[in-house]
Amino acid sequence: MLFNSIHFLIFFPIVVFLYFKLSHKYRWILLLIISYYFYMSWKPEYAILLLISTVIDYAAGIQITKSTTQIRKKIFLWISIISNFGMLFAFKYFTFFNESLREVLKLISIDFSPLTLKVLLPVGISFYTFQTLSYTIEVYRGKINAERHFGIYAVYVTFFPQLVAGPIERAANLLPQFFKENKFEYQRAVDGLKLMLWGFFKKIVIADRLAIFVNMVYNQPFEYTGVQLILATVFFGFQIYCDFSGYSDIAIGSAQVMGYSLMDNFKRPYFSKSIAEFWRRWHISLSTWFKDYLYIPLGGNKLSVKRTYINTFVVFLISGLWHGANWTFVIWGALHGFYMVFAMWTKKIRKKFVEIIGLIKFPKFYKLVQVAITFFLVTFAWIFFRANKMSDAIYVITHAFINLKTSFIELFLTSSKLSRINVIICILMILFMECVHLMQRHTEMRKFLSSKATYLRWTIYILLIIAILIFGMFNKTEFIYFQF
Amino acid sequence: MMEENEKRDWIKFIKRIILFSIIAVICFLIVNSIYTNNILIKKGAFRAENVFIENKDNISILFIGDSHPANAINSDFIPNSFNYAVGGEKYSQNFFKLRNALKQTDNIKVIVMTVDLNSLTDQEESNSFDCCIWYWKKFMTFKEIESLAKISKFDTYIVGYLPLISSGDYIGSYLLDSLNKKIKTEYNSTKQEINFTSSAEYEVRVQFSNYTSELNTIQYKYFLKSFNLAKEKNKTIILINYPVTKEYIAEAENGGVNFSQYNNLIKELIENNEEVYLLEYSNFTEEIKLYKDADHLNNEGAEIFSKQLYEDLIDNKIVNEK
Repeated sequence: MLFNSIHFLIFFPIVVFLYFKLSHKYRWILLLIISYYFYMSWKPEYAILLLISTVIDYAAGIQITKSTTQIRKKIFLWISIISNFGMLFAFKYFTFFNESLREVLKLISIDFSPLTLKVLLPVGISFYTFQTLSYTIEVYRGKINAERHFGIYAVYVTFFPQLVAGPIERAANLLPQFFKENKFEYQRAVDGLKLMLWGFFKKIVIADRLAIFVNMVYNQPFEYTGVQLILATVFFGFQIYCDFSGYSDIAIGSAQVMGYSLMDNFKRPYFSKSIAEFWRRWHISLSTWFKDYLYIPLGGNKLSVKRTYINTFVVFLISGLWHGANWTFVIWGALHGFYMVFAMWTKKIRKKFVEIIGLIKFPKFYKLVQVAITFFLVTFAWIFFRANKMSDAIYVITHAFINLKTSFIELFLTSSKLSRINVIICILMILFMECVHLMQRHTEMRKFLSSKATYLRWTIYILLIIAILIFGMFNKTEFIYFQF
Repeated sequence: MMEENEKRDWIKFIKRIILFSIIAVICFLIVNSIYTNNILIKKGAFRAENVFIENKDNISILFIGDSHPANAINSDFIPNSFNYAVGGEKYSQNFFKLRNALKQTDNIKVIVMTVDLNSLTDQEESNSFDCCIWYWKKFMTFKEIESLAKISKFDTYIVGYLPLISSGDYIGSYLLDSLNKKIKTEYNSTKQEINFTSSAEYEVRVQFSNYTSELNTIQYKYFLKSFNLAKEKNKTIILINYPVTKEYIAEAENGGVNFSQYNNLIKELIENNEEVYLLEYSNFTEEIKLYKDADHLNNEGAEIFSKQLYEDLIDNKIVNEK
């Protein structure tokens, strides 16, 4: 079920109503049933994978706790890791690795016809496998106790707001919440609805509208040059942000209405002053997952400088692969890894350079320059993320700065197939969103609104709803991150 | 079970949600009404509908079709005629418009239809009503729209009665119209001649879906339905091939568009029916100053063409000179 569907608009109020009408001891049953219903509205058979993952990690958790020796604990941890990654590999990466192997063998004149699995990628598999893995790792590390109530554990894995696209929750944060009896609180419910409304705006109005232009250009990049390619790339940066952070807002908001607190996933990432800061603000639940379960176990920054660089690069490379089984994603991850390593390597030189040219004396301007450079680097990397194949990405890079004048005229002045109006609306909507983000630097928007008179608040909400209805794209497009 | 405080919060929440929803719905309906009565009604096609109703008793020649007649016909130069054609309109839509027009007046004697191959091969079915179900519901039942547009009953009713939904592009273009005109005027004053070869390439590629010219059976069915409806009502039918540039024809033929298959189809249709005329104007003029792009006449071209067409109608004794 999509958040941006009529189906969900009917489903959600019913769920909330039933949830608060039910006694606390039965709520987990309701949450479990509706979460499976939510998931099964895509492809019912894939719920089996979800169930398998739940059962394996539940059992692994219990066995790890019961085990008296470290080796036994390790065995059960590895059972959990192998089964989760095995599932992920089979459904997401099997064909990709086979195809890549075929290409490599072709280079040394070996003919290899790989077996290809013609199966659809189960929605959200990368998210729930990472969430359940974090659980077994935490149990293994002794940071949490294994959950004995299978039902509650199953709700933790399948909790519908965050099941298919995160945030990837930690057991220590989410699991105890299912034991706590949530009372209905007016202010909390209203705050949740406000966040959902903002998420819908970002998804339906901005992301889906930007998608029209971005898809048109990126599906046939060879037909475009200059400004059109640049604009499509910048638009994609905002599209993916609005799409994914919109989903997160709806997820966090809907959980909040029922009394659950999910972790923040985005903190205005395009205002970051460095790539490292960008990753502290973008898809936070995944970044922290990689930090806790890959970067630190690899040694983090506690070993040599060289090793720190390697660890950082490896984490980003794997993060790229997590996003999709395609070389474009691997390059995207590698590029971010390179940015990070380069930034660490040149930290002192850059500091000195800024002092020499006197930029340090103008802190606000310096910050603006840093934000602009970071935005440029992130946007450049998005080219690989969005391109359907490597040759498309190379074309975009090599043709983005040619025919600038002609492409500008074609885009904005002549009767082009790319709707000028759509482009103008997109730009205005992005500006509006970033203005809201700027205001949020000082005060949280929901708190700010709560201090205003009811008539003013309601006017703003109604205007936002009407804006969604007028400028929204209602073709029920899926969220980008579902494919991961 | 809910405690007292919780119950109070719950009731407050329900009450406020209901009140808020009512106010939001009322506000939306008000904006929707402002939009339909002040903005949407000014759209070219919708204006034409009002002009048709006002003048229906004086109309004896009715032009229907897509952008080709919409651009090529200036009814000021063809007495008692009305140009009901709108860019992008399909044969399926032409039929319902014609059905409605013939219901409203008996005075129409001559129906002028377009016989463009690109319209008969148009494979895009589902998007044809997206923007204007509100408008088309004047001509068709919801059931007819639903089956033709291939959208759900729910969506048909929603868009039919609440055209404001997803109308951002149109509102944006309406609000920015004056600005656009200004930019266009400035641009036009400095721009060079239109490149008709690339215009032809673009138009042919779009119209023939990458040069395939397979007949769309649904569109052909509706073309015949319009044809038969006019015959049934004893109207004279004129089929017109509207003027296009030589670049357009060359591009289509080079790309493999099969004109002969369709010419045979039309010939057969005419041979078997009396009171049906085919007027071939695709080679009407090679003067590119009369075209606004590869396959559409400009205002000057429309004036010359309409005068010529009127003369030809008189010469062929289809209409009497006034």
